[in-house]
Amino acid sequence: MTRLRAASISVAAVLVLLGCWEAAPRTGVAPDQSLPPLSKVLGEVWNVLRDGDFRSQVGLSAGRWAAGLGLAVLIGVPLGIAMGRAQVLRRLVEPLLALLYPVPKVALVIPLLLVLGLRMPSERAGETARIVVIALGCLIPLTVSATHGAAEVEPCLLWSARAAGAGPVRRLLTIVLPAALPQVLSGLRIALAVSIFSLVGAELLVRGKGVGAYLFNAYDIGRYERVWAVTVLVALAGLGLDAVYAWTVRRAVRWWEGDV
Amino acid sequence: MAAEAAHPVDSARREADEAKLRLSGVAKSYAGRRRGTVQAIGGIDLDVRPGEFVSLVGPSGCGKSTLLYIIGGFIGADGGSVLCDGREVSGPGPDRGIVFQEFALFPWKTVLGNVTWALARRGVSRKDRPEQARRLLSLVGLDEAGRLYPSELSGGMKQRVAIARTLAMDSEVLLMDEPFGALDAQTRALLQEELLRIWDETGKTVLFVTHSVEEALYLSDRIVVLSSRPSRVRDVITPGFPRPRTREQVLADSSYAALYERIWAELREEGPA
Ligand SMILES: Nc1ncnc2c1ncn2[C@@H]1O[C@H](COP(=O)(O)OP(=O)(O)O)[C@@H](O)[C@H]1O
Ligand SMILES: [Mg+2]
Repeated sequence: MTRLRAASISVAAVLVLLGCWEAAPRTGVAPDQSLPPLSKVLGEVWNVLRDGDFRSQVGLSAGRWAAGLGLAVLIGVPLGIAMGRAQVLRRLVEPLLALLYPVPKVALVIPLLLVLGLRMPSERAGETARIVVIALGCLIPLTVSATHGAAEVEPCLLWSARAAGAGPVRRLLTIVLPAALPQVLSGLRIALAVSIFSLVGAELLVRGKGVGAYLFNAYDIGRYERVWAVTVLVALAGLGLDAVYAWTVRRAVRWWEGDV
Repeated sequence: MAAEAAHPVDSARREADEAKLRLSGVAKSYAGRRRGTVQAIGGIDLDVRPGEFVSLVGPSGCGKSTLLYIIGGFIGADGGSVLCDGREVSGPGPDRGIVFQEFALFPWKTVLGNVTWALARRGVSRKDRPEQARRLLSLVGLDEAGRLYPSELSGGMKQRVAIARTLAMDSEVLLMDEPFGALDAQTRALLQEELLRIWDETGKTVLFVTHSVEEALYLSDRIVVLSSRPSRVRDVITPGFPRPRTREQVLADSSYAALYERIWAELREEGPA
């Protein structure tokens, strides 16, 4: 199959889905207001984008997102690298991550709110709980990928470095880190996807401000076109982020033979 | 020591002083996969003289790589000792460079970067590095490839870079673990010739693992045949082909066929390890 043909099949699948979305409400398959046709939703997307309130909510959400993801990168990557190189640490931390893995991290936002609410004003407790939930969600893919990346450095690379006279710190910085980079970057791609749904999930559960709250508010007041429009925007943000990330990594890490 | 030095030096003593590498009773066991231990190396004694080109051949799995790693100081032996220039080997050091079958280049560095990195470790000043790196790359026949990454190179070019990077350490001993084993026949022949030229120009002491009898005969001053596991030195062959030599001369030498047959017969007898 040529690349063009393969691509056109994929595009066709998306177009058929979008076509159904447009047709279903118009032909009465979806009879009520709950599913407006695609064209109306897209029109509403435009309105939402021009809404100053929405834009300030996006700013708030972006701040939480960056804080949560940043926290996960700052903790997860060094922790994973250390786990990859120190068996004791790995044995110690891996079971904890395995316990955390199946827990729906978004659901932790409520118990977190409880615990934090006793110690700080509720506004700050909510803010902290949402950031922690995003960080927890991203922590696992980042830590696991960094662990594998650091553990699977070819021994002959480290041996060559030792023979040439590189000490342990230099080997860590100039051999282990770059050798683990591809895996870390792959982990970060997964974390990016996790971060978006953790953000919106946490904001839907603990409302107040943010894109998730804006979405829920539209639902509360019965503006279904707006509900769909915000959902579409969140999906596009996730898709766009992933595409930009993959493109950037491919261009920036020219030496890497694989793909993110 | 002083008392000893006062005695007349007997021939054994002189040989000890002259050995670049001296292995005595080197043995190594690994923990077995299920239980017990697997003795890989049974006890190897070997002297390599300065500037000598020695090949190691032996059944696969008999511990040739293990032996090289022990000499490199990357893993420890269970018994015996390895001396390099009369000093006990206790870890890796820039006096012993190593070249692996799988090249072991740093994929995140360019060709030039790989070589420059080794120069930097040796303490070559930042200003002198580019010039020296270019000279080394030219020595291995890679004048044009400096800015490429390893992923953009053929197997033969990768191994040339690996040799240049090891030469950058300027170690007097070169340990090579089946360096041409992953290359096609033509590239392999070319690199063998270049290795002989480099060896001739630099005067390194080379310990070269191969499973190709032809390669061993073409390159070596001496060929050490190891037995199957637990391995010992089974035979040492000194082909004595004149140097500088060409492949044609070696192949046409009247003793070539007999030596080839002798080594093969020994390897066949040892069977797989
Ligand atoms: N890290 C290891 N752990 C356990 N056994 C090993 C290890 N490395 C090598 N061996 C075993 O030791 C023997 C010698 O291996 P090696 O030195 O690689 O042989 P060669 O290079 O001659 O083919 C083999 O039987 C191999 O399975
Ligand atoms: Mg081997």
